[in-house]
Amino acid sequence: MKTFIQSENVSVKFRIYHNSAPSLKDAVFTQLNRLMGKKNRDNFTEFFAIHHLSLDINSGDRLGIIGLNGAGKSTLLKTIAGIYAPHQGRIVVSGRMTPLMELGAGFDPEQTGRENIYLNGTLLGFSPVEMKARELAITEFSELGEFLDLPVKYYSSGMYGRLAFSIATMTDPEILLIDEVFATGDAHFVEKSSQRILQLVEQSQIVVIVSHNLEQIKNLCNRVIVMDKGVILKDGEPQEMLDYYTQNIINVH
Amino acid sequence: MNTDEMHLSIFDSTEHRGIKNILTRNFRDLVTYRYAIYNFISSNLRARYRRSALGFLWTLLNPLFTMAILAIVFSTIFESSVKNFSIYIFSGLLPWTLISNSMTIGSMSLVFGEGYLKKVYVPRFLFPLVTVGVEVVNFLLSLVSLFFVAFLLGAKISWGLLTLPFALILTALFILGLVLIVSILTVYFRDLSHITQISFTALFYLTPIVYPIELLSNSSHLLTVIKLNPFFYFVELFHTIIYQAKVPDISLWLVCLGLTTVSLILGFIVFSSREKDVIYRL
Repeated sequence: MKTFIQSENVSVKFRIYHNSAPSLKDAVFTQLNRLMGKKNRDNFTEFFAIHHLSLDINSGDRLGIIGLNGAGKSTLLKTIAGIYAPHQGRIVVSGRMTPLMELGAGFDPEQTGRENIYLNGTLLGFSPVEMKARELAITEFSELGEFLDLPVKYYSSGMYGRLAFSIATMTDPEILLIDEVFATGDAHFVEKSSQRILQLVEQSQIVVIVSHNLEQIKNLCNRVIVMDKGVILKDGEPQEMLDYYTQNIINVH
Repeated sequence: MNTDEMHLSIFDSTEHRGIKNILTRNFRDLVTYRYAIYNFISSNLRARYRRSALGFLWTLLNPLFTMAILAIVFSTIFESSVKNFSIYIFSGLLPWTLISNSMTIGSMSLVFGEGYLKKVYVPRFLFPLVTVGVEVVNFLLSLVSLFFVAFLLGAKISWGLLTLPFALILTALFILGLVLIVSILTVYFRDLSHITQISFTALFYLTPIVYPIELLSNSSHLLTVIKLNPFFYFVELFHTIIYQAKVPDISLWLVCLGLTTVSLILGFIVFSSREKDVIYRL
């Protein structure tokens, strides 16, 4: 089966609530007001984080997404990963996805590092047997040694990151989703993980990277999209897109 | 992860227009995430008894002591024999614990799942399902101590016991439907978790568990109230099978089957109509 990501006319909207969470009381009064024909004052505003976005990503694409803060880059990545459900349109993803987005996503702080390898693996759809086969590679790469049998709540953020990174990168992804390539830990591990990222980008069929580090985008990607306010402004060759971005967006702001 | 088909993910905003699509997705997720479900259930159970000296033994001791206390207190109040009453109380308390724990813990299951839901794709039904799963395992473990005690007290053993698995499956599915509903609603109205807790404290006394139903035989009002309580019928299944050592009447089975069907269908409708919105409300 071919590996691809197909996004057709996708919109994702967020609500910002002016009062925190609606309580039962609010809900009851809202309904009562509606019954009595009274107008409710809106206690939220809506905005589109992604607006009518269509995008085809094919096997071989190393796609970089650039844009200012709030342009919708991370939301797009999370929508591809299935975390946010689109309000309009649809996304079809063919291929096994490995998200490398947030530190320790899908970790249980109460469980040991070793237990979390299995927890994380099963959340990625692997069986315990398949994870058993990867355990050694993960533990070796993470260099956590005896700390692996300690609950991860006692980990430093560096150790946390090392474990998360090791698991994510040892699960031979077909599609790699990277948000702000996290380089954590000491200089030695940063060096080691950037090398591993390069290796993964080589191996994966599709890579989607969100980053503010334009140098990194230039080195890793063969295609770049520029996003602003939830839409794609431009899509094309990295150098051309980066020039466009620096001239028309960064310099204007 | 051998078939290519498993790697196909479709996130479609128009999915709600076809029940078949939703069922297919849920089934596919159930298969893909079966290990995750198993892992969550077992880690949940381990966490419950971690660092306690007696560990898993508590699953056996806890219901045993609860039952012993209730049996002594209430057999004194009702002036009935402790021996007989213990088995009565235990056989009702067991399914009740399954029901009320699933509901009170389950109502917060999606809220507590936020850490996962916001960071990785996890099927949303996983959290309510795991809650019920954990309680079913706890039920089975408590059942072991029940049989142990029942044997010591010289309880009758009947063919009715063979229907126990069906009673458990029906009860678990019934409660799953309800947990699906209450877990979604609690995301919108957090107050609901408190309301659920209080309701189940009240319902505990509206279900004949610590008192025999015969006690109400001269109060037709109360009897009507109790018969409106759906949980009564499920507890009755266990009373009949374990305490009376009989096979429950077909009419009782049918009532439970009917309630389970309604709860599952309602649970499915409520859950699948709102589950995609949940992430925006957590």
